[in-house]
Amino acid sequence: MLGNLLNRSNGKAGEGSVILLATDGSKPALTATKKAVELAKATGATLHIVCVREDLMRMPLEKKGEDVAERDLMGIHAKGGEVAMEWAARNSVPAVLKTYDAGPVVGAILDYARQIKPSYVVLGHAGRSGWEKIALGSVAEGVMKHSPYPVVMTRGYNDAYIADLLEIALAKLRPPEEVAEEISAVPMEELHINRKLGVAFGTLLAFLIPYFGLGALNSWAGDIATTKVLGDFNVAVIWVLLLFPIGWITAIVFHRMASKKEAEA
Amino acid sequence: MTSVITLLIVVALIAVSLGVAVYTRRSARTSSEFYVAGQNISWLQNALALTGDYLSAASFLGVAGAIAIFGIDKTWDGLGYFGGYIVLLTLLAVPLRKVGKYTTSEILTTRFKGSKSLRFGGMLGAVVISTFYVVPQIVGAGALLQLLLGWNFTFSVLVVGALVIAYVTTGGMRATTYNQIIQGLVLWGAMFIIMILMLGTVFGFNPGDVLAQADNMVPPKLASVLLANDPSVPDFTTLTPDEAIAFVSGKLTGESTALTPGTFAPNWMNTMALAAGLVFGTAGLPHVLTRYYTVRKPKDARTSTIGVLLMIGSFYIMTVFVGFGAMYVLYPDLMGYFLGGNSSIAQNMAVPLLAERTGGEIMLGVAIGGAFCAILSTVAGLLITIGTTVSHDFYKEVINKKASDRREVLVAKLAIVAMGIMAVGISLGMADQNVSYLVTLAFGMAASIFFPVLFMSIWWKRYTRQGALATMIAGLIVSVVFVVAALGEIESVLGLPVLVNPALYSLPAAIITGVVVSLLTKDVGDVESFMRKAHGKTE
Repeated sequence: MLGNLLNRSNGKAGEGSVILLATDGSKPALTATKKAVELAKATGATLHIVCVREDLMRMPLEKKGEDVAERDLMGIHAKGGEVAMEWAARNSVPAVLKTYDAGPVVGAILDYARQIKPSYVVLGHAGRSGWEKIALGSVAEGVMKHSPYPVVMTRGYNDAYIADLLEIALAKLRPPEEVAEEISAVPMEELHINRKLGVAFGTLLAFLIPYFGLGALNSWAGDIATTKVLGDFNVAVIWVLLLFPIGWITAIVFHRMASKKEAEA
Repeated sequence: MTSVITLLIVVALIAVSLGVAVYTRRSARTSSEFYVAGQNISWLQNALALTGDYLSAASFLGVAGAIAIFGIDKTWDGLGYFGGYIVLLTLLAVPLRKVGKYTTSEILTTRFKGSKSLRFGGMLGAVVISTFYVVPQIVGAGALLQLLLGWNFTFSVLVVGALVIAYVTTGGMRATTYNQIIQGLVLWGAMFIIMILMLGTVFGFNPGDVLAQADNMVPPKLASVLLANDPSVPDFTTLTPDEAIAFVSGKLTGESTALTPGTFAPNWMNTMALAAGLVFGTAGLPHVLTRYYTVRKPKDARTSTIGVLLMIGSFYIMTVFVGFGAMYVLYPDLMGYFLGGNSSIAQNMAVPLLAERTGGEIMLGVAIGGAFCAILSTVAGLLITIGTTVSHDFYKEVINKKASDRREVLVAKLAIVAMGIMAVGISLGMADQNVSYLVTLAFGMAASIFFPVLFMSIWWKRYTRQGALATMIAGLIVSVVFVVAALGEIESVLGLPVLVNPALYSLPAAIITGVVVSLLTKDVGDVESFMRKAHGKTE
């Protein structure tokens, strides 16, 4: 019935058509997932699922603060793409998963929409309000505002309606983002720790010698320190002002040497 | 009390910088334009966030303010703050990024797994260092409110403390990173405008003239001490800078000028203590280390640090000229404040006063607003680091391993409030201290408590669990004892003269203790796995 209704709305959905679902694995998104699969099944469309990871500059506590504040709105943090793929498979709906590792969420959804030109974009509205809405905005409203394609938006969630999806989602919860990097199994001697320390310390001395040299000059050679050598500039002042470019050069030389060593390795 | 225009500019500058930060965070989610994945966090953004975090009241008010009253000796502050990043770049930045841990507790327990004592030591060290770093920010903010609104120092500090704690525990705990990026730019820009206005209005755009004047002046701090009981001292506020300088120079013929080293650090021990404390302190500052969390690749750790060096290096060069220029322009005022018992204004307010003298009410507003931005971004960074250390590194790992995120955030907020209150309490007794001096003490502690233990953990295979603990304990005890002695104006401890920075004693004490204990013990921890993480190729 919903399919018929949608078919009547613009006549686009149907065999060979595409529906785009945007999901972040939250309960509002699971609601949208259920609705999108229903739609695709009813109209014979292929479901394209887009997931966007928010790769932002923030400290762990900043992220946790956001997550905790949003917990009641989101309900759950599952791997939305995997849940949707499984739900689509269970309902025999052909599905394609697209993930973005970073980028503005709204921009990424619209970017993918422009590529696949869907009949509908389906997504859930979390229902943020107050400070959360000011601070984070609303992805659903952003897509609604800028999408050149029709948007189907579900609002909030009802645990009873998405009970079957929740079961899948609970088995596919998102792990903490901190992922242990692979440790290379090279022998210890091939790490060249002493050589690296030598390069680091050697380069550092190019700054530390004139740095502590200024201390020595001021402490033990006050007459030289106050000798004017360049107009009103005495040795101490010139030394102070030169230490900054010396530091910059030291840093750049170290970077180039370290990059070269890494390339050789 | 200053004018309404100044007050409006201050409020507007703070509001705009916070507003832009919130907008940027929001836009990172809801912008309809898509930019290439992975490219949106650049080394430049990291460099700006590091800069905003690092440039505090000490840098914005304290460095130039200290040069304005002590002369060339206080260029050490800027030099050391700058040089510290070179130590961090060459010795720690990339290995830390490769290990992927950003607090001392976490780094140490990655090598020495399961050590509750190292976790506790790491937390305690972070709290002590950060408290000493927050105190000067609150002192600076208190002095600013004193100048801006005419409130007394105690009331100003209480108000500032309450505002800062509220800011960090509510909204500020979130858009902090973006805030720091914006504030890094605001601070650099404000100092640049102040310098250009000063050079243009007073020195005919000739930086050489600034130094020529500096060589004619006895530093106000020194002059005020020497002339404290001289009955012939006039009312300085009625004199022009040239008249005031001529009077003091005439009275104190042969005294050191502002370009003569030795006014603040009078001998080699004091000079080297200050130099060592500063240059090795940055690499041990908890909020600086944690900032590397947002650096994506090991290579970016280097480029971001070079970006910071360019930003802060140029900033501190500006403070040299602004400091000497302020000494000339404000000479009668500074002498008047010292001799009139208003040293809290003389110690820290040279930059805003110079801005007012050269750019009127508008520039006074820019200077005070810029300083508040510096304070907010640094205090937010420090308090969040403490919140993370206490809640995640200690509470979650040692006390309650099953703690939920909600609980963790709550503990973090409680830790932030507790530390804020403690810092406000200490600040009340520090009204007459220069904020950069107070920060140099925090650097000295960081150089002793954290730098040696991190350096040896990362580079020395033979370093042991007991050695690491002994390093931190020795650094902590010796540095705290000498800092307390310095603030209490005690002349010597156990026969050792108390210096302007504890590092000359505490840094070698920490290193020697760590080496000796390591050589006497055997538990080198999970050294092979740790070294592979820290020094292996990960790109």
